[in-house]
Amino acid sequence: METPIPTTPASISKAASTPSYASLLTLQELVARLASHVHAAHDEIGETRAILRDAIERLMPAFTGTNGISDTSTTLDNIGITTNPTHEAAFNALQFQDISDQLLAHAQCRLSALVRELDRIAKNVEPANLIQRDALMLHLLTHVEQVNDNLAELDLSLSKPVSKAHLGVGEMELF
Amino acid sequence: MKTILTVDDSPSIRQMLAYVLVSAGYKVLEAADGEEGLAIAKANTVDLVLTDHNMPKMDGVNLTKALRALPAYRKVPIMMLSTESSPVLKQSGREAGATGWMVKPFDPDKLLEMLKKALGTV
Repeated sequence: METPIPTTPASISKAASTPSYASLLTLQELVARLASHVHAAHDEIGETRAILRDAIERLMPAFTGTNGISDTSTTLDNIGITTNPTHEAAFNALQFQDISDQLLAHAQCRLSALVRELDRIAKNVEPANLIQRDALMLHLLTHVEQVNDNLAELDLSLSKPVSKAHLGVGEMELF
Repeated sequence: MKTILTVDDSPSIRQMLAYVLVSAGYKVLEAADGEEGLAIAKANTVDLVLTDHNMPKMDGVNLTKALRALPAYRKVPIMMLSTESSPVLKQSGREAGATGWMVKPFDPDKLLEMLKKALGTV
C-alpha cells in the first residue's frame, strides 16, 4: 500500500516534523563533523600551551642562573628589582605565559564541554532508532533541552579567567 | 627574617615570586595548590600568605577560609594574587578573610611595597 500524499496543512505539518532516515543520517554526520573540528581545535590549543610551557622552561635557566633563586639566605637590595632589563623581560615573559595559559585552558574547557554534548547528540540521532518515530522525537527534544541546560550551566561555572586584555600592571588593593 | 608562603599552581610564577621575595630578604615556602599550602602553613610559622585564586584541589578563597579557621592564622596577612578581578570574586575573597587583592600581571617592586604594607613594616 502506497503512503498517501499529505494534502491538508495538518498532515503536511506532521510529515514535515517527522524525521526521515536520510535527514537523521545527515544530521548525525554533521554533528560528528562538528565534534571532530571542535576536538581538533581543543588539541591544537593543547599544543599551543605545550609550546608556551616549553619556551618558559627553556628561559628559566637563563633567568635563574644569574641570581641564585634557590639560595633562600640571599638578601639583595629590593629597590629597583625590575631595573635589570633581563629580569624585566623574564618577568614579562613568565606572566605572559601564565596569563595565556589560563585563557587557553579556559577555552579548552569550553571546547571539551562542546565535544561531550556533540557526542551525546550524535548518539541520540542514531537513524536505527527511527523505527519508533514518536518516541525518538520525544527523546530528541528531551535531549536538546538537557544539552541547552548543560551549556547554560557551563556559562555560569566558567567565569572569565583573565580580566585584562593587555600586559599592563594590574591594580592592587588592601581591604 | 619574615617567612612568606607562596601558593600557585604555575611553577614559573612560583619561581619568579621566590626570586623577588628572596631578593628582598624574605624566606620563602612554596606550595602548588591550596591543599598543599594549608599543610605547609600548619607545619610552619608563616608571616604572610601570597596565594593565587584559580588552583586545582583547593582555590585561593577556600584556602583563605581554611587558614582563617586556624587560630595561628587569624591575623596573618593573606594576599590574593590573581588574573581575575571581578568585584564578585574580590568580595568573596574579602568575606573569606583575605587582606588584599592583587591583579596579575604584577610589577615586582609594587608587589613588595604592598607586602610591606600588609606586614605592617612601612
